[in-house]
Amino acid sequence: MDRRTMMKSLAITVWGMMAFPGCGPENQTELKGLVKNLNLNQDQLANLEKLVDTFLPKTDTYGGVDLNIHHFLDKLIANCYPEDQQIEFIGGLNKLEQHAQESFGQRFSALAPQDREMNLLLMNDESKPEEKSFFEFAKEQIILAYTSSEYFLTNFTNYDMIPGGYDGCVDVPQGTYKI
Amino acid sequence: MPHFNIDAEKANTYDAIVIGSGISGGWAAKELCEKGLKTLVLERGRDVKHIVDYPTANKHPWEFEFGGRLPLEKQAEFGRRGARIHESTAHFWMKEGEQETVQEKPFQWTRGYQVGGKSLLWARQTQRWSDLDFEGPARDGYAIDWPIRYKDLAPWYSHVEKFSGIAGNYDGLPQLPDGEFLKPFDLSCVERHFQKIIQQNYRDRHLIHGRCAHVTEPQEIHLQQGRAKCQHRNLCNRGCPFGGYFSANASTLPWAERTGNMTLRPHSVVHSIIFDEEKGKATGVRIIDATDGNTYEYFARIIFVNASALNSNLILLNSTSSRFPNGLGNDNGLLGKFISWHNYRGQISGRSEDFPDKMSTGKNPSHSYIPRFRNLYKQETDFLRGYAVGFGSSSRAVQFSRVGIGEELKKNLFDRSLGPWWVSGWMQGEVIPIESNHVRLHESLKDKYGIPQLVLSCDWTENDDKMVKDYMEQMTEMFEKAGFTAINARDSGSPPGSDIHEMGGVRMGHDPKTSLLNKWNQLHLCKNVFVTDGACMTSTATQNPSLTYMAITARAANYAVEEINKGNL
Repeated sequence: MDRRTMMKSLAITVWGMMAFPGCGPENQTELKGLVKNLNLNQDQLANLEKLVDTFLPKTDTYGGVDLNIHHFLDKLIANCYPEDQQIEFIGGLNKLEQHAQESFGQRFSALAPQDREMNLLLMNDESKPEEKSFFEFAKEQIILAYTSSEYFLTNFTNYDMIPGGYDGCVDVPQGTYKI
Repeated sequence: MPHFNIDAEKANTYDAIVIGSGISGGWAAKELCEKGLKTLVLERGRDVKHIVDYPTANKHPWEFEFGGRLPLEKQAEFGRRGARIHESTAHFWMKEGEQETVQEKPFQWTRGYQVGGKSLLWARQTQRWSDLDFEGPARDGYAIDWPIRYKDLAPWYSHVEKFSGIAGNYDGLPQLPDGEFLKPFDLSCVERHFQKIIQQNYRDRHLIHGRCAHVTEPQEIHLQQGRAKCQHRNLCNRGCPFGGYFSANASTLPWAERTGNMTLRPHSVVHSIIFDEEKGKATGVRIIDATDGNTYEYFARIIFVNASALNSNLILLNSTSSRFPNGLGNDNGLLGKFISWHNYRGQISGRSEDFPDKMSTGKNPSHSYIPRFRNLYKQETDFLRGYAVGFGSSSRAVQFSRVGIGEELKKNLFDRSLGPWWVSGWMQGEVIPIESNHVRLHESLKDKYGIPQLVLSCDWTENDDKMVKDYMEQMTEMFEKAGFTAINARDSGSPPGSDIHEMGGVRMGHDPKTSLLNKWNQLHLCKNVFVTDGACMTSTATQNPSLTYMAITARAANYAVEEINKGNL
């Protein structure tokens, strides 16, 4: 995909940003009362962004942060999950910070990408059910958000809202094809 | 409602009243209005206008604010189910507290309380009954004999099929008569394979194209309704802006409206039918307006009860008078009894490793179907009757790995491949109506409108358990013969009602001593009241029931008009 298409696609994408202009950080305050967010402090916000970036970094394709998934998660969890799960999620972000301080003596958001990965993987620990559950929940939500984004579906899959037909038995095409 | 006329009763008087605007109510409205009767259609829920009131119909997955999940306040409106309801269809779900019930035994009662009812949410499968079904009770000695046979309904099946648009294949099977078909949806490679295996191994078993209410080749009559060809979006339950499948909203109700004879009154919760002792007939319907809580009365020569099976029972039970202290037409005490449904407990899944070089394209809004094969011509098992099977294997799974984090995970998300063909089957078993499976009014508990709560008292019997066991055995054998792997047959243990095919309670029959309705769906004891939804069913057979409700309703409505014209009603 060329850069022009990519920019165009970004402009109309990122989780209904146009329909709901509330994803940019500059809009956070005026949003209150309309759609809730988790009221994270600056450190937690930074950790959430880096959490998304650590799971799905920018490569030759957009990363999770490019698709604003960190803002989406803030909004999703604040509005759609009960309070105990909200608290657990914020606790997970804090734990991420605690691990970074203990293992690297630095803030999670300041770590180099490889260190952030190592730090995040510390949470993927069967012996610590709360951390494991945060890790799994965050990962699943980020995968779901990424793979249902307009960017992903329209550029990298055969997504078609109006297929107009159904053929039940055709040959798998030779060469590359989108599925 | 503008009732400025000095003579309120006159202003509130129509030729006919139809209670309910769903699949059967929509058909009653269409037929009666077309024949020139001024018809009031009462719907307890809100209005849902075709296209206009399908707010999510054209939304892409990324356009849902919370990815489809409902915010907590919305979830709370639906009680415990809230977290599982997707935003795309939430507006068609009944809210918690709308109509409380007493579940003496567990019963999952799904209600579609809005204009169009459950016709917006149904699975759209439509098969005709045969005489093997109508003659079932008489042959096998359960319930009572149906007062009608296939020949009585056949022309009406044709009538409703042509208008609704039914996709299907001409299969020539005596147990599942062919109808007026538009071209069927395609079968997948695996379905074609399974079809062959079944044909080679069994005499009375057949896998056929699902017959479903989708317009695959629009005819003039569909274009006149403003409906277009099904676009294979598989977003049916959001409401279809193309009118690609049959719903009352897209089809019968706008048709009735166009005659100028229909008055649709949403937010009208029916309390009871008014019986006039002197005239010896019903004169009208008493409703509670859900928006202002006031009671209103409407009058008509004939009343069609299409409130959905259990709610029709409730209305009749609540229609008491000194002549009918136990509910309208209920001298024999059978009203609310012999409730029945379909047994969907049997499930099976697996996969096919065959056809690795084949795939499907587009989407299939339907699936394939195996008509009943047990006890077709004679009793051959230790349980009565049998089951049909829905079978699906429309496409191959798309698979990708979720392993890792960072670049590894990202690479995995993009590395999508075609997995195996998944196959699944679900049982649609006939449940034998028995007297103890019943609904009744609670002596004291009322719902929020002050209407008595319905007590639901229905349970499985040994016949159902045996049938589930047989389903699992037979389907496993058939799956094995087809070479499917990872076969998992199970009994879901779901409660009655999960099938959303509840029927009976106001059954048809020859004799007023043992039934509530005659062969024209008139209450034996109050001839100007017709019940033509699921409540009228004497037995359930195995077919998806909606098409039969449509045909029965159209037949009864035309009979009612004839009787009015003859001066008999």
